[in-house]
Amino acid sequence: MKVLGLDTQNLSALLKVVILGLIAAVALASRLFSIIRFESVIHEFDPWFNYRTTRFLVANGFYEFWNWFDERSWYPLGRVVGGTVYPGLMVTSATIYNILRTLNFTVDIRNICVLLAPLFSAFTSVAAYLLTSEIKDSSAGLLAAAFIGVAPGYISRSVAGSYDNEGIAIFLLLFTFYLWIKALKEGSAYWGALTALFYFYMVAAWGGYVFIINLIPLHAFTLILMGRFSSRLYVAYSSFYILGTLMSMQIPFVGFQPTRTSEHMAALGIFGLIQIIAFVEFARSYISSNQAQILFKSFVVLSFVGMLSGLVLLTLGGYIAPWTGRFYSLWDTGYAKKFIPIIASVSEHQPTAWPSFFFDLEMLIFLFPAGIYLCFKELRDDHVFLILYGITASYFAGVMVRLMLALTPVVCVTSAIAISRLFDIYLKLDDTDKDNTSAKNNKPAIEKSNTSAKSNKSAIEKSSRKGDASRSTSSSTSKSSEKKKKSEQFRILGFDTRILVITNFFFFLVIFTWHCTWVTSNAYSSPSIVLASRQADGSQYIIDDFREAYYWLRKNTDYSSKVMSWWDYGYQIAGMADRAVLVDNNTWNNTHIATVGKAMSSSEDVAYQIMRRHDVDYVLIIFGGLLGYSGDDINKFLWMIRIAEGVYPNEVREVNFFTPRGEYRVDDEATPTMRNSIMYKMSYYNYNELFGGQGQDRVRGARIPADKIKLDTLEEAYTTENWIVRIYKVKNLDNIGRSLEQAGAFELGKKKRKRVKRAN
Amino acid sequence: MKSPSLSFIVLIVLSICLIHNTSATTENEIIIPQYWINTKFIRTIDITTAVVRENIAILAQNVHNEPLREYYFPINENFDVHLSYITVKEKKTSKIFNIVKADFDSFKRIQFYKIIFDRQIDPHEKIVFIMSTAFIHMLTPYPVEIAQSGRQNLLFRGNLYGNSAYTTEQQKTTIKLSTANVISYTKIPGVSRNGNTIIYGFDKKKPDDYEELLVHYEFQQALLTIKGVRRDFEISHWGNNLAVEEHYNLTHDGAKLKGQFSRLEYQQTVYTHHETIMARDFLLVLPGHASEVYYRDEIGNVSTSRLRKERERTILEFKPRYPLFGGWNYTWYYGYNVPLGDFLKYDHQTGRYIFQVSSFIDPFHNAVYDKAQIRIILPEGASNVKVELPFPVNKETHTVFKTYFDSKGRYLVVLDKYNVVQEHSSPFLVSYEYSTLELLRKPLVASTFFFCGFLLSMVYSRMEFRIGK
Repeated sequence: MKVLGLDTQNLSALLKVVILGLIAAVALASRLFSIIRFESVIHEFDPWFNYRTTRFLVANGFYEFWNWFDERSWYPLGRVVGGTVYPGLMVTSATIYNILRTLNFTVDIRNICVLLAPLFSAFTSVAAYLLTSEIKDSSAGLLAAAFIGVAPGYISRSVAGSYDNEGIAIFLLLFTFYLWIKALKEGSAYWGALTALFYFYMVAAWGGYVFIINLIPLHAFTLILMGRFSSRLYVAYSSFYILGTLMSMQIPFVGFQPTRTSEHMAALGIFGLIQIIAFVEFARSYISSNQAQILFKSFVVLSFVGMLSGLVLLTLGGYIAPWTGRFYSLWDTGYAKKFIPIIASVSEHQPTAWPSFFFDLEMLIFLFPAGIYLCFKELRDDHVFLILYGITASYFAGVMVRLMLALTPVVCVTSAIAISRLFDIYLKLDDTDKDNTSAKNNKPAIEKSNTSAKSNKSAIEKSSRKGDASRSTSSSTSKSSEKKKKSEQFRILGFDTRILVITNFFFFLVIFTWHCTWVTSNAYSSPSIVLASRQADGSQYIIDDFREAYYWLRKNTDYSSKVMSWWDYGYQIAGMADRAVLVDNNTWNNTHIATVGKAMSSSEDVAYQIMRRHDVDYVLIIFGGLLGYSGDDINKFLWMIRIAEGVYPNEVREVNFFTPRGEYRVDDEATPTMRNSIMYKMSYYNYNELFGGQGQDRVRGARIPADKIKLDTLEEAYTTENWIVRIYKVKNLDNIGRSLEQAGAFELGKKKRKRVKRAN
Repeated sequence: MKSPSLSFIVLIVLSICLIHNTSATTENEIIIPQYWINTKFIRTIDITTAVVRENIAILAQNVHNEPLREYYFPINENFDVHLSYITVKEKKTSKIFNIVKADFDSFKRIQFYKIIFDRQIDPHEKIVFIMSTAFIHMLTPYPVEIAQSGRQNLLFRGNLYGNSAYTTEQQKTTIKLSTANVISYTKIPGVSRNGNTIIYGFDKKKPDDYEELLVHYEFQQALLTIKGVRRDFEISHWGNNLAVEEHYNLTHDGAKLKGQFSRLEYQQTVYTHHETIMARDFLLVLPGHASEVYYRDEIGNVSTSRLRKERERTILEFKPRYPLFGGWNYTWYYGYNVPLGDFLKYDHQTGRYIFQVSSFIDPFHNAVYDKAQIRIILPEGASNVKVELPFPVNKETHTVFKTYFDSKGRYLVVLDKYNVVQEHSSPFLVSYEYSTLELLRKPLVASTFFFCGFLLSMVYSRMEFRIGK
């Protein structure tokens, strides 16, 4: 059959390329909602830091970036950026930027940063295709590519403008896994080295590389336990581990962690184990007695136990760092809340609510177990990998919302396997009649399928969208082919009944796409630095208070001013307002954050001392009361108090902020401590006057106490149009040495007297 | 520009030797020979806007015994740095006279300008000419700080007697103000005030006579200064498109905001905002066919803008992110596309393209410009470029600019000018030669590039890189 002058083989290759290209285009395009609706702008919080560092890298070069000490964050401590950052993302953007510049294409670095995540999503779908093709066949690969292209679980972290490590890391994760499967299959050091190379890229890009460095050893270990040790595994793992570890240590932020922390010990242990086993295997090929075998086996087990106890001893001795708090919180979800409130205070570190699985993955979450089941049925080395990946990732996704991201790829791959398997069976059009009319005719068909399964490699290449069950790769073990025989024998389905299932699944797929688009457009495409609402005439009205305030700071305050705010806004202030901040989203110093929390939750006198000591010029708070913006600082206040209490238990007490009945209130019943805290005062300063009486807080649905709020040490410097951002200036010390409270009272008195005079 | 005649130099040297023979010649004092007498010297100082415009009508008489062509005019150094333009024309014929910057008197800190008449003025002959000057940043708010909705008063300082290098016999100075709210002004005998004009008259004044003129008056408008503007005009013959992008850096130079900004007061005084000196909304006139208009600043799009299409023009109304009070700054940029045909003509006779820049600067809310930079990016391959300007600029640079996969780079003309005011918003022309073949440059370069790429891949795929088989 020839179409367009191409034979079937070329045609299917062409089709694959075209379909994959279209999938990549869809993956890219579906992430552009926010650009079309709003603008090409960096979203949220962390991306602003990445954007800022990228700009620095582009402006000053790699060497300067590597040695960058940023004195404008964590004032007065500063931050060694080069040594505390995963540079992969910035270097990627800067490389693209420089390549385009050498080609005389003067594109703005901001646009590169904004579009980087969608671009890498297109790459991710290609990586998913490769991985799934390697595990099943190319039709499953195309399905997986399409799934990962639009799955909301991944889109949530990779929309245009979401310039974060995850944007490129998921591509690297999948591609590294693909290379690992490939290396394992081929048993080639070349693919192993490539795995290591991409693992290095992943280390450079995201802290989640720890997942890879634990999953691959786990896979190797499971294979060993299953008695599937082979020279292929030995070559692949050894080349990957040695090169990968050496390369990963080149990243300053990682440094000697691969040899000194518990997270990396599993990989090292498996490396040692695999050497011993390889040696044993090698020795066994020369000595062949049963006693020797028992000796060898006990040698392996003993050395394994020895290594494990050695590890425990080294950890106890302090040579190897134990698991960090973030990892403990993966095992015990209550751990963070008790010991590290700063981790628990981040919403993306909360355990996942079950509806969000459906929200992010829709029908894939139901097909996921089916896919895993199919993997169990074949259970080749790569299927074992997929099963392990699926099990671990689904645990982690259940513990932490943000790790949904790591689960999504495996769900897409396994679901693609399940659906493609289903279509393999139900779309097999050519022998429909045979199946229906006579069971006798089945046999030759099966034999035919067996022969093709033997030459399975070429079959993979050949297999087209038509989908042929027999073409699904199998290691041609007698067991699995027998199973297949059975399954095909039971397939007595009429065409008319098949169409029922096919239409059904077609419908599911359409609904899935529809759902994904809907979720992307409604839930994940808001830049969060601008809020959109509708005007009375239906036109879009943009609430742009954040940028209004940041731009005001940028243009109308001294360049060396220090801004104190809660750490959430640190990166944005540094990025958009270009002013030095005390704390930011890189929450490396808990004490410093607690100090800011203490200042916010203390009375004016205490807070003023803290602020003077830290050279604070401006205080920035978020207040949603007027507009009903619920993510404001009063709602985050409890976390500030909790974190402050963790460090200053004698000075800040959470209990004092709750009413006797244990309520957190801002109205007349608010506790005195609450009302005296500068956070409360700054939030509601002048607010009653706006209403000409008692102010109404629309977030908490409360009426603000009628008495006028007096601020002596701070003065309102700027409040945005909708009062969302309020900036206060810290007053200088009084010229004649009075306390600012006295000075304020004096001023007030003077003014009053003047008025009286005038009246006379 | 400077070409003092030999006799003049000799004269200067002699005079220096005569008067300052004791001191070393580090200080360069200039003595202007008294060849003229100003019979009448009528000044009009217009301070109704932020720009101080001074028009001087001079009736000068040659009192030398030889015919003369040159007349010197002094401007004090600290005025001269704010000088925006200076033109001289004859009153009768409206003929423009040439005026050039002459020497600088570093002893008295005076810059001299030399007016060159179009003809020799015989001894005892008289000539009437009008000199127009404009100065920026001459008005200072006093008091320096006012409250959020306070009223702004300005101080104007100048020389009560007009600057002149020659003796003046009769003098009259008229000061025009925008309001009749004058708080104080220099009072001397012979002064009269009528509403928003103040008139001074004097007899016989010597060249160096100086007395401070001080007018303190109300000025309830924003004093806007554009610290810098960069206007880019990018011509594309391929797209038949002219892309314009303008970057502004604006400062409100009025009385500073006393204390801090109160949003409460701002919202409560919404109806009196127009009476304050706060600048909140602006208006820009764009060409009628302007399309794809955008308005952004350093951190992204600003949503508070509106575009209004009229028949002849497009109007962009926009608000900065925050209202501008005295001492506050704001930067932004905006851009748009227009069909090239509206601004570019092809001259069949000379074979040159003539591009008209509709104005050197856009008049913007009576703002004054500290610096304006015009960048005209001509298409790749344009040659023989000529710029015809109606007034001199401080710097004209011709260089190369590369963008959009250019191979050779585009021809870039950069014009820099300091102290720009509304009077400089006149059109000017840039003409260049451009061969139609140049249109094919980019496709050819691109195809060559891809051809080489395919060639390399052909070679690569035919090579063997495996170690063993």
